[in-house]
Formats: sequence, C-alpha cells, structure tokens
Amino acid sequence: MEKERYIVLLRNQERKSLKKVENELQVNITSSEFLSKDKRSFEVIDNNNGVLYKNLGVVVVENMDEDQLKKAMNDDANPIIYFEKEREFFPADEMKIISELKKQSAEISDKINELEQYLNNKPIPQKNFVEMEWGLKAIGVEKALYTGKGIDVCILDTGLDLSHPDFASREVEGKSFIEGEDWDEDPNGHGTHCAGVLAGNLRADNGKRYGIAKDCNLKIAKVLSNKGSGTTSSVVDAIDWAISKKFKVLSLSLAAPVQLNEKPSVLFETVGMRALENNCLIIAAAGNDSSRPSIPKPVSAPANSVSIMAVAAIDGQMRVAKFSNGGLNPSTGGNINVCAPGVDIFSSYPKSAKNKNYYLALSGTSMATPHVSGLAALYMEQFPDKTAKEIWEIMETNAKPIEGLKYRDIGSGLIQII
Amino acid sequence: MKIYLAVLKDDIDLEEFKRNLKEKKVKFLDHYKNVGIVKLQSEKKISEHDFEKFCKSIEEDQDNLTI
Repeated sequence: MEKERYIVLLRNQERKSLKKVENELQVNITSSEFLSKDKRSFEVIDNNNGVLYKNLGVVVVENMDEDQLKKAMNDDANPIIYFEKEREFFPADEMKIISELKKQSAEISDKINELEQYLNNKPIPQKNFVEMEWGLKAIGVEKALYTGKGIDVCILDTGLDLSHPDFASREVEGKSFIEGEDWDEDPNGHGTHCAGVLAGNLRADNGKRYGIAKDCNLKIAKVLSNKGSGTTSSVVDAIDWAISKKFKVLSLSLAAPVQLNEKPSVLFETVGMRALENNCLIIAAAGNDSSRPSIPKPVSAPANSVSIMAVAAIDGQMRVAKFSNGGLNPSTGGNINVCAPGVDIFSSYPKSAKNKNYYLALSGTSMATPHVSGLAALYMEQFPDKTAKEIWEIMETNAKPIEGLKYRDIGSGLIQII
Repeated sequence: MKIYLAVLKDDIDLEEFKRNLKEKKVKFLDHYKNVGIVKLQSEKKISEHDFEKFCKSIEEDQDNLTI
C-alpha cells in the first residue's frame, strides 16, 4: 500500500504541546535540529515517527488517521491548527507552461467554433413541449420529423366544417358528390372529426396536439350525406376524381357490413388496384359491427378488398375495441392490415347547440383510419421515391404487434412512426 | 329504375359497348375512366352475364355505406 504523508501545522512548539501531539498521533517527534547524515528525515518518518521543522512550526508524519487529525484540528485545546496531505511538485518551466496553456486554449477555441458552426447550420428538431392526445402518443408522433408537407390527402366523408377555427385559415380543396349538399359544411361532424385526426394541429382550447399530418394538403370529397350515409357510386365517382387530381392518400372512414364468407366486391377490388397503379393508397375502416369478445364480425366493404388497406381500432389499454371488425373471411380476402387508436379520440368537431365546444371525443374504426392515413402522409414525405404500394408495405413492416392480440384482429399491429 | 356499376374489361370497344347497351335499353350515365368503371341505369335487372364481352362485373349501386 502506498504511504501517505501529512503536513501538520502546530500552534506552538511548547514541550507540553509536542507531548500532546505525540500521544494523540502515537509518534515520536524528532526536531529538525537533530537531523543529520545518519539520521535523515525520511528515515525518521518511514519508521512511523514525525519530524518537527522548528522554523516552520510544522510536523511531517506518515499514515495518519485523517478523522483523528480533523478532530484534533477542531479542538481548540489541541496544538494542531491545520493539516494537509503532502503534495507532489514537479520542476516547472513557466514559459513552457504558458506556451502549453496557449496551445490548449487555441485547440479549445477551435472546438468551440466548430461546435458553434455545427449548431448554427444543423436544423435541430425542436424539443416537443406540446402535450398530445393518447392516440398520437401511441403511434409515436412525438418522434416524428415529418408533417406530411406537400402530400395531397383526401378524406371521403361527410364534408368539412370549413368555419372551424382550426381549418378556417387553411387552403382546402373539395368537391361534393352528394346532390344539394356542400363539401365545406358538415352538420354531421364525422368528416370534420376525421379531418382533425388526420390533418389538425393544436387544440385551440387546451393546446394539445391532436392531428398527425398538419402540413399535408387537405382535400375533401363529400360522399356521405349529412345523415351519414352514401352510395357506392358516389364513392367510386370521388375516387375517380381523386385519382385524376393525383391525390396520394384516400382516407375512407365509411363501411358497409358484409356476411361471413361473403366475397369482396370486384368493383372495389378493381378501384383499389387502379388507385395503387396510379400511386394512390386507399385506407378504409374495418367497420364497427362487432360486440366483442363474444361476437366479432367480418371486415366490412370496401376495406375487405385486398387492394385496400383495412384498419382495426384499439383502445388506450391496447385492447381491441369491442366494436372493431376482424379478419373472419381470410379465404376470400377481408383481412385486417393494421390497427390504430380508435376509442375516445378527441378531435375537431363543429360547434352546435349539442356540442358547445369545437372538439369532441368519438370512437370507431372511423377514428382509427385517419391515424393511418395521416401516418401514410408522413411516410410519403419521408420516402418520396416510394410507391403507394411500398408505403403500405413499410407501414405494415413497422407496425408493432400487441402482446396477446391476434393477427385476425389487429393485422400486422399498431402503426408506428419510424 | 336502378343504377348499376360495371367494371370494364381491358381493351374493349367502348362505342360497341354503348351500342349494345342501347339495344338492351340500358342507359349509359357516366364513365369513371381512371378506375375503368361505368355507371348504368336500367329498368330491368342486369348482370355481367348480359354484357360478358365488355364487363368483368356489374353490381347494383348500394346506398349502404355509413359512418
């Protein structure tokens, strides 16, 4: 073990005081005046004794108990007034030290400049201080570096309340496929809710973020009446329009129930295929006909077509939503592809006598669908060279399976930001 | 009068199809070119068997899509 020496400063060198120190430290103190060639200081110290340097009033001792020294120092009756460990000193060339310090300082200065330049030039994503709705957190929107900028996304639904404060200042293109009803009004509210999940930003009332692709180019096709129903021909007409406008994602929060073992319609199968050929991804709700756990129902049309992405709903506890349809017709198509948050989803909603606020929580695979469509817009911005089909594959590949839930009910799993 | 949606086969002669429809008193309402679908109107029930040469499928328009 390496020996440690201590320099102990004494208040006085009276005989009584030195005796006290000898007793307390259990050493014999030899005064420096008695040191000689035959009795060198280090020999005295190495033998667990101390040397008193009379002119300095300092005793050098070895292997002391530091606590004991501290105690002695704090005791006014004790002659020890200070101690410290022996230090090592090296020969110093002052100019050399200054030169070395200058060199180090120049190197640090260069590093600081380099770091400053890096920070100034690098677009650092801002730390997200905004609280988010649970659905956005579940799919990892906190980590998102994209906002859907430049991606044309069309919602086929009941329209959009364009007077809603979250959309009033936005440039939104739309068309109504319902006779006598305008696309920019939404007395039903369903379409405005879906638009909020897909493309809304921050809630005006509490500042929470509730939309996924806030910078996408929002397009609206009113294919469902104010009562919330619509025809196949209106939807086909709207999809044809959307493809002609080269929209990239079509979000269909609508469904028609099908029977067990019913084959998917050739019509929607063809529509989905033609959309993909035109680099357009159709995403549709799986439907809300189930009463789980006892009565799951098959995926509705048009989501049951293999060329259309089918979306199931989960709740905040990562359980399949009790109403969410499942892949019960796998031999004829009708699988679930992915799942997304669809229970108690807060989003924009028209203000009315019934709804005093501009926001409302709704549940359904209708709410899960715009989560997937919004994420598709983010992926399309992130991977501009990928086709719609490839974006679909990336979404499924990166979806997260949920422990205890079946492929039948959630497909590849919960969609995720990458 | 009922509305039908027909998925067209590839490379058909559309004019010939329209003549055929006229003969069978089926009205041609619209052509959704990007998806290859036509909208038809007929008093009588029609199916793809009636226009096998031109259509992959013919489905009656449904008013059953809901939120």
